[in-house]
Amino acid sequence: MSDRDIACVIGVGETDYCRGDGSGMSNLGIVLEAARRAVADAGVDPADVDGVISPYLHVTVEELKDNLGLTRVAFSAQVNMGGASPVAALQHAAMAVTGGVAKFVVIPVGWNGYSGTRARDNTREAVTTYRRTVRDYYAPYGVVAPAQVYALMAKRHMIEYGTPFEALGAVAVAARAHAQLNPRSVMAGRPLTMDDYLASPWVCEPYRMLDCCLETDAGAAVVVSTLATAKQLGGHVPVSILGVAEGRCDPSAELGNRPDIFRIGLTDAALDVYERTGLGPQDMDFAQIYDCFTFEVIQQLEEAGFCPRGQGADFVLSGAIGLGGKLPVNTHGGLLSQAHALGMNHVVEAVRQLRGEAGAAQVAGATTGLVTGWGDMGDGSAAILQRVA
Amino acid sequence: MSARPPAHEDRLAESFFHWHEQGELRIQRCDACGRYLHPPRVTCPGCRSRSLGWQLMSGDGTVFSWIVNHRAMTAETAALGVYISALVQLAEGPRLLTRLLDVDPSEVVAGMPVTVAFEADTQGTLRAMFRPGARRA
Repeated sequence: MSDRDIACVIGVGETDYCRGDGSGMSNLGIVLEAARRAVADAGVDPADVDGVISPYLHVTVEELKDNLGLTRVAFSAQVNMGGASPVAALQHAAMAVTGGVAKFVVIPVGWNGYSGTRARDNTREAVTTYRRTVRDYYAPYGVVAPAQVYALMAKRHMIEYGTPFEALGAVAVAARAHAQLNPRSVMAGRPLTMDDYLASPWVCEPYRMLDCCLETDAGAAVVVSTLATAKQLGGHVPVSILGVAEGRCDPSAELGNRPDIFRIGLTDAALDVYERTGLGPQDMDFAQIYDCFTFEVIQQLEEAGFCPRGQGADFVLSGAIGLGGKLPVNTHGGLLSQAHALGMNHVVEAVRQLRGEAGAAQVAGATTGLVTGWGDMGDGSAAILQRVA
Repeated sequence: MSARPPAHEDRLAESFFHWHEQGELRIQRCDACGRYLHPPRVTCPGCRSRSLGWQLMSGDGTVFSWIVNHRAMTAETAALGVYISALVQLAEGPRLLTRLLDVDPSEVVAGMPVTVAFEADTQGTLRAMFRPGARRA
């Protein structure tokens, strides 16, 4: 393979994650700011960016082109898998740059998830299959928020495998500990103990408030190009996109009627990405796992093969997911304790780790890592990224 | 017994719920291969048949999973106080997201027998919900 056949993340950017008074920007403004920062980090003139993958909601390719000052869009796409979209989008970008269709593809996401629309209100605009299912079949029975939808899966896992609350707590506590090491996390300076977790009020039992991701104003973006171009630019250490895969549940629109309720999009995506890269779970120096809720981390660790199904609780309770553990997970604090940048902050963190720029949260000697996405009733995506030696 | 008409794709949810107003719980089923489809569809993903009807359920089921809702997510759910949403496995096989009525959250267990009851939701619309116990003693 030549350097033109290898796709790399060459730029990353994040807005200033916040709650409180909010971003002071529109959804478009947040997405643009994230894109600008990623393009600047890549050392590229915005006029040369010729590929755009727009977020699955709120902002269009046209708005991005007209505001960022792109001169030509040779490639555009929108990936609609909810929170699994950012990681899945890496595949589209990689194909576009290695196929010679575009030279630089920017993938920005963002939203005012704190000062604007909250996730629990999302059935009002029923523009996705997930939202239609919730509106039509779940809301009449009082289930409207993602926390409620996914708590049904967590509860079933507890029934079948005896997964204890402390395992969910271990995910929350580990994420918060990592956030203390990250000045870009909104929970920096607010440590969390297991006792704090267990004292947290119920939202929808088995989920407590501290099982739920943050509501924040947050945007994040990456720029993808080829290794050949990255070498010409001579900027950051390039991080190659070794493989990406996506998967959907059966049926994808509703979780109650799956023959195997724990089989998620990632179950297939993980198998595919391991096959495509020739690597396996044992080769990962870290994993940035989409953590909309605590149990979803446990479930994805199982389905991505880091431990057998039903043993996710033992895995997280062993300390494996903490910095210094067997598999550090969400070294930035994740959606639970950094910010809800729709999982693109997980991609950004993976790139920082592989560049060796993760500061106090750096995984020593990290060369290879997994990033997952989860969205819309269990859609899944997985990417394996690697530092170019 | 398979009832007509098959649903139009824009009215699938309406078709599913309109039986509840009549005191019936029906699940869409493929006339050709017998597969149950919930949520309802316009084509059977198993055999590709477009001949889909609505099969009457016995109303018996068991609790597959459940959540206890403590925090109101909307103004409508606030009126319910603490309430239980559940996945009920119907005796015929399909599962239904529904509410459990007349049971203390601490008394719900997996596999608990429940039976259908048609009760008003927060909008006053009759919906299939479930109470503990088997219908036929």
